[in-house]
Amino acid sequence: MAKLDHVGLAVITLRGEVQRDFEGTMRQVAAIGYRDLDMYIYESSLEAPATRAILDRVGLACTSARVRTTALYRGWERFLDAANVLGAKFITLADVPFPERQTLQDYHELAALFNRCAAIAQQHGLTFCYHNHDAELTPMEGAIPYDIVVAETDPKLVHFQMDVYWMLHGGRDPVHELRRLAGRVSTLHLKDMQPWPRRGITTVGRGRIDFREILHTAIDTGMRYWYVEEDQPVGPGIEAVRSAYTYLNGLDV
Amino acid sequence: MNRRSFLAASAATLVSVAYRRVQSNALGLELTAYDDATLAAVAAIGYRDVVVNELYAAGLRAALKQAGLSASAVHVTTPLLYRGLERHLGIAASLGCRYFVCGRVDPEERRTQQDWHELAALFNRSGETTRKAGLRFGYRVLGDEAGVLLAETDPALVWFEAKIPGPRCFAVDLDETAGPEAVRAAGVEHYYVQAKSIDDARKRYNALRS
Repeated sequence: MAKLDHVGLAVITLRGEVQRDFEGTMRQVAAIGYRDLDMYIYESSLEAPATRAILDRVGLACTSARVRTTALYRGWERFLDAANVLGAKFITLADVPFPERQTLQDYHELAALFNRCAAIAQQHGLTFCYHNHDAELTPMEGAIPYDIVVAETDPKLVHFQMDVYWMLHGGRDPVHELRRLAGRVSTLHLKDMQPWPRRGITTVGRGRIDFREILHTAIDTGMRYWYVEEDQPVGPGIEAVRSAYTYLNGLDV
Repeated sequence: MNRRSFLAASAATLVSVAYRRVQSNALGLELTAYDDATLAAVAAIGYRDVVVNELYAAGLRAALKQAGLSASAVHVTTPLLYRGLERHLGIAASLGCRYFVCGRVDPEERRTQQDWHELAALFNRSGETTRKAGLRFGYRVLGDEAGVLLAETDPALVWFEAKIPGPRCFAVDLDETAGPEAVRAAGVEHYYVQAKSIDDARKRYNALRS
């Protein structure tokens, strides 16, 4: 049993605050105690060197740089270069929008695309991660799309950012999946699920998810990076972010 | 071509086209909701044409048919141009669309001039595939990029939807400031009304048809 040595934040949790004042918000985040971030490369609306300078000033590190599918199709190396300017270890695909995942054929093609992009990412010193929601855990044409992606991508190249809430929402046990994919789940998104019988999103520590067991398992599989993430917090985002930090910081894992 | 010369070219087009009254099938509404009640309300106003922002809204084809609406165009995002374009064109054709339009380019996809050169090449490729599928490829103009795209895209393959009528323009987007004279003067195939609500859509339809 030990305390976490650091807690990370997915900056999207504070998207409104960041649009108004990136540096001021990042200063608050650092003051709460967060040490590293998962963020879109252009989340600050600034060029990567300017974003990096701000993060250095406030004492935060961008460990996971997020992209949209558009980045995979054109200008991928430019996005990788920008991620390296930010100092990231991981380049994370945040989402596959609905029109891009209509058939199982889409997932076969996406798996091939992930392999190609992840190989280039590796050459740039970055690990490609795919972030799940629950859509890819919903059966399609007799298969589970997530399993197609897992099976058809190179385990050495394509890793995962496991969103523990969406994993549970999609009907899978995050702890079991962490064990099954040990070594391939590189980062976590942490948000909570409301107490049964509700199952909406809530702030870490206010719901039913056993974060102690999840983080214990994650660390046991060699993982080092986890980010508090709450899509649309009820009330001030910074309060949700503070509350989640306090909860995780007090946890014995 | 820079913005100024694009505007000059637009003005030249304006004076060269015949003055005409807008036909009801040329005045379309840009849809942002696809439920039966909305579609019925849109048809009741008098609109027959719509432009849709969703290719994969559940039951869209049947719902449009039921309401007596036809979708002349669909707005899509750039990822649909890179992968599975033939499949997406098949869906657009099944909805009855004649134009397959890139309606959104994320800000992070258009950070430099190099991006626009690459997008022009993408639109040419997409235009070729779209033509083979029996549709026309369109690009919805956002701002100052029309000059680069006019210069670097193939006039036989890429058409434009813009706020200001110009060369190769198949549709004009009518914002709240557009009056009936904009509709009469443009001489394009389609006029797409961008409305905030059903009431707004009705008000605009009546004003534009007057």
